[in-house]
Amino acid sequence: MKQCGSGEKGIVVFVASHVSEGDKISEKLGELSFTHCPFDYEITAAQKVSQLEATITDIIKEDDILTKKICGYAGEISKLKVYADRLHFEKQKQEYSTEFKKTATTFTLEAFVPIVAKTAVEEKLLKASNALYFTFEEISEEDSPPTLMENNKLVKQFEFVTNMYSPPMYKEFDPNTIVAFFFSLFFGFIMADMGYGILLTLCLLFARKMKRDSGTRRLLYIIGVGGIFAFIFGVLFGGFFGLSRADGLNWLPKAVFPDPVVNSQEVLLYALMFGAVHLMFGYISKGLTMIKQKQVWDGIWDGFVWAFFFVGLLILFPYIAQSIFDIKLFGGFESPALLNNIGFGICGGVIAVEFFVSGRHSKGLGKPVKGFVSLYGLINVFADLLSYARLYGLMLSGAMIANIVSTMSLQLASSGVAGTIGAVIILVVGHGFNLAMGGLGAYIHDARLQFIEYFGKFYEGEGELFSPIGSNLHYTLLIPSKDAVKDNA
Amino acid sequence: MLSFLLEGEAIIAANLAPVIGGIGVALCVLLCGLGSAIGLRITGTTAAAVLTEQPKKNGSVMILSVLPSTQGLYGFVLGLISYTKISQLTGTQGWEMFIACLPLAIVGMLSAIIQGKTAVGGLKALAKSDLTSGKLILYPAMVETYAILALVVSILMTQNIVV
Repeated sequence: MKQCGSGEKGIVVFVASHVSEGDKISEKLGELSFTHCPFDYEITAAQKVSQLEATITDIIKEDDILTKKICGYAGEISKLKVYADRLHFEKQKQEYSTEFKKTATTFTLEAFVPIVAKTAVEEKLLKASNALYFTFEEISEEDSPPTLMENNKLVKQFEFVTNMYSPPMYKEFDPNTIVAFFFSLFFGFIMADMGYGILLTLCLLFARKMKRDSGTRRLLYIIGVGGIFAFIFGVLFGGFFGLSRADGLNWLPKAVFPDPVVNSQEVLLYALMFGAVHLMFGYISKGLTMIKQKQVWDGIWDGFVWAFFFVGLLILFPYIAQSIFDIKLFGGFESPALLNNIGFGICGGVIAVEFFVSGRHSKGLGKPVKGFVSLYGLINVFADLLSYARLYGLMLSGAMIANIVSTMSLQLASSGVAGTIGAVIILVVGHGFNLAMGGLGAYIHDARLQFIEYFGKFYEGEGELFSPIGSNLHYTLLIPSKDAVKDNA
Repeated sequence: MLSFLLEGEAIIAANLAPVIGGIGVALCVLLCGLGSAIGLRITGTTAAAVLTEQPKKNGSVMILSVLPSTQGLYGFVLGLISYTKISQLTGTQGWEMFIACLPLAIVGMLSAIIQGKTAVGGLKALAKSDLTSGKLILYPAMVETYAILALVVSILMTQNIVV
């Protein structure tokens, strides 16, 4: 045995033995983790290495030449992108065609078509060939068609939020209009500030510049609309970049709502009132969903009656404020006993009705058991209601940081040129950071309120979005020609 | 000498109420925030791991991983609606305030951490299957119910202290 060389990975040894000992020695070497050297070239190792290095240099050169050649196509990038999309489309067609039932010369194709597109599809089919037969059928119970939502341009952007959770099922009530309103409302409530509202509304301009409908564009629209509401709430709270009349800026409008720091309980109750309205709409949506699925009485008892409970609850809010928090809402409004009685009457009435009505599908003992279960639902209602306290918490944290940033920079600005420069830096960085973090928190918690508190009442989701073959192109945007628009109108 | 001691005692006894009450409110905000932070760390690390494998599930992962942040907000809200009363506390009201803040402080902190761990289970399920976050959100959200109940009781107890 002789050592031939050594390197980082180990040492190279040469072993020679008599044939009869061969197996024993192999075994022994195996125990010592000896691996067979794969070198079996005619030339020496050093020559082989320089051969391989020469090959590497050649490959690198060729790589350079090819890269330059590809760069030469730079002018054709848009055409190549369109071609890539076209190939992607062809590939999809091939993939789906494997599902057709075929004979040697014919095939069958089944597809879902939106009702609004029926005439256009018919025309295209007739133009395509004489040798075809087609028929349109209604959706049956066994089909699970994909979902195509018809909303106006503004509400359509908020489908982004709903789809983040799960798109609606075909038979479900489309919640996007309600989501659009309440999402923007809560977003505005949390960001309530005139300055931030203006900055957020600028996102709408960026959104308009983007021609393609994408996730980013929808998000910018959503934030922009939220910014409008933020501006409105900013006016109501009298805040401009965290400053208000209390900080000495007398040119700001007077706040309509009470100061969220001084009158903390009052503003918290207003946030909870918004929550009660939202939950009411949750139960209304439940009713509407069930009616859409032809279960009218279920919709009334499980949906609209519960929604009515919240009307009573809202009426009782001044009473709650007085008895628990010892404050008056709405600028000293003291609700008359009659109003309180109406509120209690409504709430009590709904609870009584629900107790009797919950067991309508069960028999015998099941009836009162279901009744008590519905009372447990009452606790859930209060738990849901208090979840909206986060609106107040988030709003206040954002407002306080904005206030601190602004007052600090104003103080700094009053001490010379260096102070002014520092003030501008603090303003930009501080408010930028607050806007970003506040906006992120607002978006997430707002979305969570929609998903858990609102959708939890009625929504099933698990729908599949209607995406026809060739509709998700990566690089191209198809805009219908003016002729096509006229034809379909 | 004795009268000086008695006077000192009286001063200490009378002035401790705001201190004790203040400790209660501060503890509430502190522990709830701490609990949320720990819970979010637990979900955040798992969320990052899930996203490396499946970047397309960004939305669902985000919703699930943000759930423990609620309790910090609740502690904050309780602090906001109670802090004005602290300096006006007298006698044994300090202890009343301290005890009133305990439910939310303890339940808030522990439920946030536990909620984080529950959400991690949901995140792992999300990684392994095609379940949308809709069904998986329910389970961590159920943990939060008890934090809300504690919040209610804490609010009721703190607001009941008449200053």
